[in-house]
Amino acid sequence: MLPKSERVILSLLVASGACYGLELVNASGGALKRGGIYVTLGRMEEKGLVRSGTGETGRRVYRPTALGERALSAVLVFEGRLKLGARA
Amino acid sequence: MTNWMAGFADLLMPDPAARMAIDETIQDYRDERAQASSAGARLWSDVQCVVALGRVLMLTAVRDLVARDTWRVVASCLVLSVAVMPVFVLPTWTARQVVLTFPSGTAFFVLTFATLAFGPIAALGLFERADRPVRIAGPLVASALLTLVVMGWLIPAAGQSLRVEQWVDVAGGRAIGSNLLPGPRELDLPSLIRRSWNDSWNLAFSQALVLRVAFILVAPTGLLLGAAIRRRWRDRVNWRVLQLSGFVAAIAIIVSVGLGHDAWSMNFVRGRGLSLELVGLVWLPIFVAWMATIALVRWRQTKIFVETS
Repeated sequence: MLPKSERVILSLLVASGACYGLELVNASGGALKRGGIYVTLGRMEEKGLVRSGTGETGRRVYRPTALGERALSAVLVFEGRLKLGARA
Repeated sequence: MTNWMAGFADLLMPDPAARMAIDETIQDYRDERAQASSAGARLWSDVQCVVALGRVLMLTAVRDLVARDTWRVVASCLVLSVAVMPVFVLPTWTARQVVLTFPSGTAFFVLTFATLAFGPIAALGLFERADRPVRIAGPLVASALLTLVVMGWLIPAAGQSLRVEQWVDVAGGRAIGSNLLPGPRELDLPSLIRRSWNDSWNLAFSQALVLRVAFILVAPTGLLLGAAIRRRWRDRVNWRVLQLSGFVAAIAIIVSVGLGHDAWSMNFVRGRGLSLELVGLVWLPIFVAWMATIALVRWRQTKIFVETS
């Protein structure tokens, strides 16, 4: 399972394609915090869930990797099945 | 970011991932501050930056705290602290040996002197090399937690047990009563805080609390000062000399704090009242060590790039 913060980051990155850290914080509606997000992104980069590069403004831009996208879809499928199981 | 803040970030988190988190957080701050139109908005971005940096430090420390390397360093420091304990004990052995005749005496003895030895040993920078700086955020937090538990609970409990045993020995096994109630130095940390807070008229408890906090901070202070010394001169001075310098500096802190504390205790025992100046004397070496650490980390290593064309 993905930690909640990693899941939020992957959801936002998959939806938008590429983001700066502060954009992710602003888009998360309070789920992600300033500063802490970079520790999480560093950990996700080590796991191979996201990759980073330098954007047009010189800031670091984050994108989901194929592994990250697969991990997110697997979590969503798993959660969907749990909900179905709970209803049944 | 000021030089000393950058220096501390470099000292506590030399690994690229943590530095990246710090750098990006500071870049966020610079971008937002540049867009801030009023003094209030600038102040708000300053506050947010401090909170964000604190969050990065906390998360990094937690990550380091659960790392195996951290506990390898801390466990080695503990073993060495017990091993070198006699060096700290021998100068006052004649006065101390009677303590060992009581069952609680050994526990009190080992806990006290091993904890005093822990700071200088941690200042050595075990497993660190000149070309391979290690993350010290984890060991720093671990040593702070360790001394908090030992100084906050274990040593006061052992001290109280020892006094009860001594009293029972003197009174022939019939000693029960108000004389055995724990004193300021025998209360655990929460009780001491409570008494300091409730009995505001009783300076003994509040001063004992201030002194206890000083002793809790001694080991992390020594560790940080040792790391700052090694970082400052790692390219210029022999590594063993740097390790020894950190060790000696940490011993100087311990001895100064110990002497200040003994002076405060003797002043109290001899009925001369509670001296705030002596409390300050206990804190002075810690304050000096912090100032020295800040001065050392302000210096940033400059990388010289040779342009070839």
